[in-house]
Amino acid sequence: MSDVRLTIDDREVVVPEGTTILEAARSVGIEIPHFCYHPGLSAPSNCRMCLVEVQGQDKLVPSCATAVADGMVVRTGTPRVHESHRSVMEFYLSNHPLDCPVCDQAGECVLQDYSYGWGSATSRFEETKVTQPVKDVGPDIVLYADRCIMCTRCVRFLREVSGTGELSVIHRGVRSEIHVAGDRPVTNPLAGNIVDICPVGALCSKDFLFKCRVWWLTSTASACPRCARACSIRVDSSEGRILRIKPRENAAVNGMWICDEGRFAFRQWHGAGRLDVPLVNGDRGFTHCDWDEAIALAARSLRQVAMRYGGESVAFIGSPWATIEENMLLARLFVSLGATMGSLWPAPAESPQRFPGFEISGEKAWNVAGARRTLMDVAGQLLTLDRLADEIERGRVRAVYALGGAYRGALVPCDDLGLELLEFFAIQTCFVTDKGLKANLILPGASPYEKVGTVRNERGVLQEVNAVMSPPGQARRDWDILMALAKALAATVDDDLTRAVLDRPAAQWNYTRSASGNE
Amino acid sequence: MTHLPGPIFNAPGRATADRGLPTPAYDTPRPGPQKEKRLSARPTFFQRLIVPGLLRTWWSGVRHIWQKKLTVQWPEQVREVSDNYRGVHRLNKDDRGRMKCVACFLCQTACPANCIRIEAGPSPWPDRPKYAVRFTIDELRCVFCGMCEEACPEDAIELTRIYSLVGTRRDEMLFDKEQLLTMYDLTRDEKHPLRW
Amino acid sequence: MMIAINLVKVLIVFAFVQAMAGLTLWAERRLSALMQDRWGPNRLGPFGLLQPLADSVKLLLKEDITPQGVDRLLYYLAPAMSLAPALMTVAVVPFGEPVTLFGQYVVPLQVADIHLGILFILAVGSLEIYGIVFGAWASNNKYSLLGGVRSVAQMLSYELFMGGSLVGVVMLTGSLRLNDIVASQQHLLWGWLPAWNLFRQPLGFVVFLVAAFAETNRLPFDLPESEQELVGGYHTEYSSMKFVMFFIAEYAAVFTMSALLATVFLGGYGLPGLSVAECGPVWWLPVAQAAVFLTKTLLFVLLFITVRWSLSRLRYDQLMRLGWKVMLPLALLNIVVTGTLMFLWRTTG
Repeated sequence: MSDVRLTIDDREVVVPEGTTILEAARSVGIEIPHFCYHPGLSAPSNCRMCLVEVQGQDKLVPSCATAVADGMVVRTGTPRVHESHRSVMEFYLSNHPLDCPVCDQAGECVLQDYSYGWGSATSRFEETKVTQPVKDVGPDIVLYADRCIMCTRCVRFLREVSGTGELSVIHRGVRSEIHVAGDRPVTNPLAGNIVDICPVGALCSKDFLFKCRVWWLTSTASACPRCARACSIRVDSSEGRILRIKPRENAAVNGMWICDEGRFAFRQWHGAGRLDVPLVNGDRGFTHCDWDEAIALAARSLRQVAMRYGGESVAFIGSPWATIEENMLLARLFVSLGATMGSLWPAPAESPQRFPGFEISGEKAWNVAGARRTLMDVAGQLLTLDRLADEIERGRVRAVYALGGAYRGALVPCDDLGLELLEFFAIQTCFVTDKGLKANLILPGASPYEKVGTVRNERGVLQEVNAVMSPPGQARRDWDILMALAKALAATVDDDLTRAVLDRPAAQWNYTRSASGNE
Repeated sequence: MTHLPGPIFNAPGRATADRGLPTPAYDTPRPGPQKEKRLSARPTFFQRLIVPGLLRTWWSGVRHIWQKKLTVQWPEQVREVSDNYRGVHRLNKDDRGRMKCVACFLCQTACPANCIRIEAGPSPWPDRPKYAVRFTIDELRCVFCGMCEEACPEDAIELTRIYSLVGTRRDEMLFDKEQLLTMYDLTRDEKHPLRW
Repeated sequence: MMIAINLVKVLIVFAFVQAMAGLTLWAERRLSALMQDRWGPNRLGPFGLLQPLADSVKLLLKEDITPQGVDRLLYYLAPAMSLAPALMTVAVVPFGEPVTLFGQYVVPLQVADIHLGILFILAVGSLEIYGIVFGAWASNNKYSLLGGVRSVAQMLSYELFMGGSLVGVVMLTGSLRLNDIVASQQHLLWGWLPAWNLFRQPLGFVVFLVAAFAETNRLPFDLPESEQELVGGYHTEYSSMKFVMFFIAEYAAVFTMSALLATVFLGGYGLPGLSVAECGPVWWLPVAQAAVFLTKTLLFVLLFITVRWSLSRLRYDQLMRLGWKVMLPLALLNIVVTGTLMFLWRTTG
């Protein structure tokens, strides 16, 4: 495709042929107001907000649907364009309820923003506004039809990206409305995205509804721990609680969308049942103990086993829910003790789900690829769990130290591991499954939203992970636990180790870094 | 503002007239005979004597002993506050006795002292989507600036003229929704506060 | 028996001075309030008279803090050292003519009738400085120390002419006994003016008054405390009971100094026509004389208080200049003039 040269607001722009004026303008940072256009969807050009002036054409043209042409001269800020924006806004606002104070979108509402630019403080509209009902769209979505401006982004998303097409527009003109067929609520796994792309407060998430005004949210850029795709997400929290998760645009990972499983994955780690104290397994079953005791116990037991049976009788198990750095520190620590056998918990597997515009991975942990590669790099080999079970049975492994961190309900598959044959087994994790763990020591670790580090998704893209909050109660970040253990073991956690880990493996191992896109 | 108002900053003599500015009213000499009192003038011989000066100073304090006192003897004597006094908050009710608040959080947003805490929920009434399930004002943190009142789009929160606000524990001073609505019942018949 | 009577006298005077210190404190709080267009403490007891009680209870209940690095012995001793001289001075002040009890014991109405009364007062009064200096030095606090240093310099300078101003009185009386000084003021001058030293020694009175303000560390000479510069001056680090003692010491000193002023310059317990010589040994005479003495004393107390709340503090250099360059020459001049006049009086007959 050849390049096209045009002028937008006196600036020379070179874009590939077939680009629209709006996208060309965006590429040089000129923002043209729009409602119905969305970079991930087709452009019906029905909102009429993106009209611009093109030299030589009598009428204003919709920039979202007009392809650029060589030598085109576009103006986005002429009085005519502004007058057009004002007229369009007057139409929109004439039938809009203007209930910003009680609307959840207020603060991140496109209509609100444009009202500051082109809205009028007074209304010439004297007729009664058309009032429309609140509609239940799906299990997590509610439609305030009053506020809808009929941009049809949601309709197009459900047709083009999820391919499910639950919503449609019925009636015409001022009476047109978004229609939910009674027997087909929006239940597809990508449904939450229509809340994100709704430019006004018409589609709201029931989960977030009335919870918090958006200007009090703290946004943290992170990656989604739910599956091996590790979508780029933005975690919105307030007062140390995660309130909602939104996708971040990242062409290398997830494009513009995330699935609903990932959107609500924080519920699977947070809330009741979270382990927040170290538990030690003694005569009276599991009892609480403090950190110093727990770490000392771990160090003492590991050292005993290593002295009695040799360092190679200590094995470690990495976790696909831990970051690259944590897995690396684990492996380095135990290799320095003399361990040669390492393994990795497998991620829960489901069948992948494919949609016309999105794909959900079947491997249900974010850092499967990163953990595997890290452990391989450090330990040289990686045993499967079955092999490890064999070694335990043969008595060649006497102690195991494991990272965990799985979400609630995802049992660590340790039943067949023969843990009862071990002299010592410790695991850092978030939940205690009732009968599952025959561990000597369970240490409360951090959930993925409480971690800092790097993960590598199934396509090999590295992403930074940032902590949204601190771990609950006495729980600690897994990195901190490992460092404490290393100190107690007096292991050679030399500067080299921490520096190598903290310098971000990306630089060290020549990984390709994702261009983390903007929102 | 090229000159500050007040005789101290515009002493007669080097007045504003020199700078071509209109003479303010307080600078124009009053008609009729008057003794000009000037702070910078040389003190008279009598003024320079120490002992009479000391006595004058002493007397200037002592004569206050029998002068009118400014203290308001609360609680026997109740101070009458102005109509736009900003005291304890109240949550207004509409003519059907329902709380006016729609839980828009604008008061909480405007509050410079972070003393308002609202929890919203679906409203039981059809005329609004949400309302405040909990509404707490920490009267100890409040600085009584009245910004909440200004921010409220529903005239749902107002400051009353009640200033006698005491408690024996901190949590007593966390006024919840019921207390704030009771404040409205207590002050319902009061003159509407004057604000500008 | 005399010992018992003396003990009772000591106890009465001791308790009385303490009570008067409390009363002075109350008067100060009320008067200062009135002078500032307030009412002051008026809730506890009639006219708020029990307020000093409440104050002391409050102060006693406060935590007694001993800061790090203090010289413990001196730190604990200082409050007592500052209170004791204030209480001792009043021992030689007479508050009535001697009475005869049970027809046989002649009891002088004062704790100790010593013939060096004036010197005793000057001597004990200058001991007061030790409490302040020790407290200031022991506190391990630079503000306290500065207060202490100031107080030494101030007291040394002002004691000098305090004594000097009394020389004129002693010359007129020919005795250092306070009883003699009171007795010498009981006649009338020219038939209408009481022969109080206030009128016979006006210059001496003014000089002594100024010195009295300085000796009690009261405004306008309260540089050792000087809240605006030195936090609390010499007692910055003191709290609870120890602070109370400094506090009482100040008011006891004010009362004692007022009593001294009344005795030396205002005829003490005497009023013209109110004496055993003129009324005979009637039972109410001692009471009346004590009342007269108390009234005169309270007048000075009121003066102390009103001055504190109307005059501002002197700057340090002004304080020194006033002491050495004005008051000391005036005191000397007073001696010379008194001597000259006495000489002329005697030679001309």
